[in-house]
Amino acid sequence: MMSRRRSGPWKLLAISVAVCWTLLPIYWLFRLSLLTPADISSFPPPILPAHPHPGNFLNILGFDYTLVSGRVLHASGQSRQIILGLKNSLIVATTTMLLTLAVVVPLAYVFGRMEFRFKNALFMSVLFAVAIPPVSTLIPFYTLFVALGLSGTRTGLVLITLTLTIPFVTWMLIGYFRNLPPVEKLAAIDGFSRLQTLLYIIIPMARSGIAVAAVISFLFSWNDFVFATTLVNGSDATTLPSAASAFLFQQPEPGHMAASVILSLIPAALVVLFLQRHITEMNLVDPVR
Amino acid sequence: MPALRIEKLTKTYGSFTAIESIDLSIPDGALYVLLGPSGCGKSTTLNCIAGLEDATSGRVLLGARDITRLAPHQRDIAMVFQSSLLYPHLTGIQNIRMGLRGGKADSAEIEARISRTVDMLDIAKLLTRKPGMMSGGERQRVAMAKAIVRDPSAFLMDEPLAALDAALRQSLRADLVHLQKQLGVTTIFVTHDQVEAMTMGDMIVVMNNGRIEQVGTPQEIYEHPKTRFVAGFLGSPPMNFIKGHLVLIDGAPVFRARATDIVVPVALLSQFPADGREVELGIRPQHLGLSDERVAGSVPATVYAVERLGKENVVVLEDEEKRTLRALTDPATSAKIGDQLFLIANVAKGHIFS
Repeated sequence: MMSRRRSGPWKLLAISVAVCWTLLPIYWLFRLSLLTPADISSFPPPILPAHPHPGNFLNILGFDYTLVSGRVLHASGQSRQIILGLKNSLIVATTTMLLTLAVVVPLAYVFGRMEFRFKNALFMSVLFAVAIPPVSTLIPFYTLFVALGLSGTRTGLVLITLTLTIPFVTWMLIGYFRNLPPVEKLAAIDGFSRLQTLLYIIIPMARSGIAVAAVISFLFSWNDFVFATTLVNGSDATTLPSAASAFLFQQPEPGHMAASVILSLIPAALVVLFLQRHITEMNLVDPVR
Repeated sequence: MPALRIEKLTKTYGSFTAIESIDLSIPDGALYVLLGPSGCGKSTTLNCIAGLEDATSGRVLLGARDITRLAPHQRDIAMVFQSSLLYPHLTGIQNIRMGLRGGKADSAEIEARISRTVDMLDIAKLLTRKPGMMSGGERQRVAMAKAIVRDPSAFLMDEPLAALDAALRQSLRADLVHLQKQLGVTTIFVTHDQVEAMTMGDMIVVMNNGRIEQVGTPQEIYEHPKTRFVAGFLGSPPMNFIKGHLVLIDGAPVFRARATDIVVPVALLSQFPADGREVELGIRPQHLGLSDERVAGSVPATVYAVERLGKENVVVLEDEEKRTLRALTDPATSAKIGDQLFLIANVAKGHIFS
């Protein structure tokens, strides 16, 4: 009990540091997205926006906005790309998530709970795919995709993202599946076939782990920037990070850039919020409490 | 006709033989305990009966039916697993109903059976709980209910009490036996715990290295172990073994260990001619007496430790070859570590093993 009391302030400090570390940049961006151009250029920069307004968000979505001062903020020239990017990002991330789960759940189950020949060698090859830097496969993929007509398409982007999410999420889920209790024997006595056991017993039992796998694969795809800039930048298949990055190369509009980044945070935050219960529930050592 | 019969059951994994040509016949309504150390093949035997593993050769018959090649759920058996395994994501009643999938009985009969079982095991308040919210004993009762509602011809239990704490295990042992007698369903119970086997079994089947060493009532197994393994495996503290030779001195068979000659009753020697062969004399700790003075046939030993159990003491000794021997004495013994004592064996209660 003594040690617990003494660790109190330190624990608080550690939590504060962690919270500031993650939230300060987001706060700074959010503040930037609400500032008027005049406030942005003032010095010292205001901590809180004096006249918060939704102009930047409307601008990047293609609408003009008139400030109280009468000044008109014009719609951004990048708005078409931003809207396309938002739509594409949602499509690409959702597709990646669904395909990843469809492949990874049976794969991780087999690796986690069955014995077969060459299991170790096959498992190592999955791990190898996690170990190599994604950028190293980018150029070969690019040439391949150009030849196949897949560059500048959502299909191409989904395919290349799967090469990251599948091995990574498999690796993550194997341990989770391995720690489930040995219900296969129970299921066999109750008359379930192997496939039925996976579908009707294991998947419902493992829903927390699978939910986390879904979040991770969605966010992997949603946050991807490198693949997107290389494969789909400037095309009709552009994603939100790639479209938002264009603000870096135009006449400086910090408010627009901040607004587009905040916009890109929203769906990801919603996914995490929606699956939050499962994420906190997932305990890798004892998957089912 | 026996309820369950196993004929020449063999299971091999590649070049490893898990069980070898096992024969066993279990009468209707009996509780048989398969006992043995881990890796002895007892769980493999059970899994072959359940159909969770395919027998390499041999037959399993339930009543007149050959079930050797049937799928587990077609065999008319119910199984309770280690730690009373249940589906962790389902409630008590959902778990119980899982055992009834594809059953032949009509729904009215099933409901009646469920409510009867729920009453019998007093688990009404557990039906809406998930296994994570039940204690070990409660999980055990729900797992039993799941097995009972199937109304099987045989129960198979694979160390259901293994993961529970000692006090709970003790009360559940009695509950299980009571229930089994009440239901009168043929039961095979697998355990590595000799106390569980002794207290629960109508008959004990001692297994080792994939073979059956001995089948008998708990009393028979304890008092007349057929092999050195059975003698050493059952009993706590374990039986003492003294190495020596059987020789004839003046026409009387004598067990000669190092410098000590122990005269052995002829009854013990029915299978062993006293021709100088090497044998082991097995003596249970309660049949070893301690003496301060050397007498004929006593074995010198040094006290290594004294374990006090309240109603008796276990004196652990080392003989001159540093082999451990244990003697049970009354709690008043004054033996201390380092004392030189002499062990006197009550040879009439001993066993000779080759």
